[in-house]
Amino acid sequence: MARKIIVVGGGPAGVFAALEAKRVDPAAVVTLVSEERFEPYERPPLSKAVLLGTAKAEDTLIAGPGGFAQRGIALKLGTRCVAIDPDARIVNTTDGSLPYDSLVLATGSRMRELPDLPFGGQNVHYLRTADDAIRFKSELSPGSHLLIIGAGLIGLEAAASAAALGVRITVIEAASSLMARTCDRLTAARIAAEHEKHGINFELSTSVIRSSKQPDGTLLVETSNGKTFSAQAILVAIGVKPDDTLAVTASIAVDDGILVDAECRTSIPNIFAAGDATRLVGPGFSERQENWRHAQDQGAVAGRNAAGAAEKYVPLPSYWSEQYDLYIQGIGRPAQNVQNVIRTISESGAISFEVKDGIIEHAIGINAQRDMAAVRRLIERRVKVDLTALKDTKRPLNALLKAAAPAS
Amino acid sequence: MTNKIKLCLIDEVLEGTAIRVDTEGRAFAVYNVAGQFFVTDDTCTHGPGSLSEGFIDGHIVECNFHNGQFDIRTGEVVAPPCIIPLKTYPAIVEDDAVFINID
Repeated sequence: MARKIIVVGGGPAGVFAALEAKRVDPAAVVTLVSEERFEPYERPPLSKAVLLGTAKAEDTLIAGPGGFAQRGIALKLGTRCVAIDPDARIVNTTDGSLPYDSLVLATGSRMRELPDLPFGGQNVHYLRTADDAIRFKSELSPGSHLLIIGAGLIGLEAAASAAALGVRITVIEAASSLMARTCDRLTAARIAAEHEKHGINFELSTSVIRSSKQPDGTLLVETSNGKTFSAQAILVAIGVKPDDTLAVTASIAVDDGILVDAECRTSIPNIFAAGDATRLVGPGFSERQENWRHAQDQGAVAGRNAAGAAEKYVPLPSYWSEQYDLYIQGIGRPAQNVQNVIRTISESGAISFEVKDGIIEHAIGINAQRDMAAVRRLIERRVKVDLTALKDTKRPLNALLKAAAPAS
Repeated sequence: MTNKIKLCLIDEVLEGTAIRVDTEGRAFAVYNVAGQFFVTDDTCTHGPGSLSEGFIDGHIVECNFHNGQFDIRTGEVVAPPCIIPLKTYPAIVEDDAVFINID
């Protein structure tokens, strides 16, 4: 009997789980269930090209046009999975029950909500789905004032896009610098300068105290630094939390994320999980990640294992972002007690390394694409590097990699 | 009708690297792997990346935007997020130059 594999979730983790499950076991009946009405699309453009109007979500399909049909994978769109019965091996959905032999949960994350500015409120926006982006874009008019709460990647990308549309922008951030979770101070200052050049006003170390609606429909927001802002629209971009609601219906172990091991197995046999929804627990570590590459790679491993393989996923955090003419790439884990080394590549390009005991723990490149593939490998392989060589652009990073590679 | 076009001199492409050649309104990447030449479209099938600026490891090129990988001999996808294979062109080396046939 053909193995029935159900994948829940239309983000990259779900898509690559479905593609890889089918590739490993071509006889399997693979079904991907997504509650969205669109065929799985890329979310990164939602805060960039989709807001700018240069692309539509449905033009950027993760599996390519007709990608699922070509590979014999069934899609069930507009369908929400409501509960799992692990004993009967059935997923109950808003469109009937689906039996499974292997189940992959790629339920992703939900946005953190500000209680005073709830999701769905008038002039209040959150940005996660294509529908969110369409609604948000419709309210961005030249000359209007947009308040963005949160200076993380989504808030900053949305700021850059909205600025290009002629919108006036204030960004409110609780931390004392932008991209505080992943960015060293120097790089954060460099990115902030670019935003300021484009007229963005930052209110750092500041939070929203209260907000109210004015008779003319605008929102009035009071902040902890004693200021008051009037805005036509607000975007709340304060991060996400794992969506483990479906997992909980099957009593799968969760702890700020669906707990998975390196093989993407949950606490219940035949149920795998991957992507934003999960927390990977291993000897001496417990880690959540929210980035595209992680979703793709962990999803692929979950899919292969759901189809009978027993592969292990080794995570290395990484992300990219586009803001104005800055192409930002981060790789690795920010660490404590590191030496900061800057490699200046050009007027606009630089890499900021965090090095500990000669090993690069974390690096952020700005307009440094040509070097970042080598940087990823230096970090992945834990190559011991010479700090002078890291700074010296006459010494290609590739050479450091080759010097470290065993002779072949 | 096929049309043979010259892309570059072999000396222009150092071993283990690639260059971008813009001609006939298209962009090609010409690679030199251990003295053997390969030609593909320059633009990644996934995003805006220019593959001649990618990371080359043997016959694998990694796009420097989102780290998808292709085999430059066949155009086959080696690593996602790329889904669509890359177009390749048999490289013809004559008179110290690299040519391809295009339609």
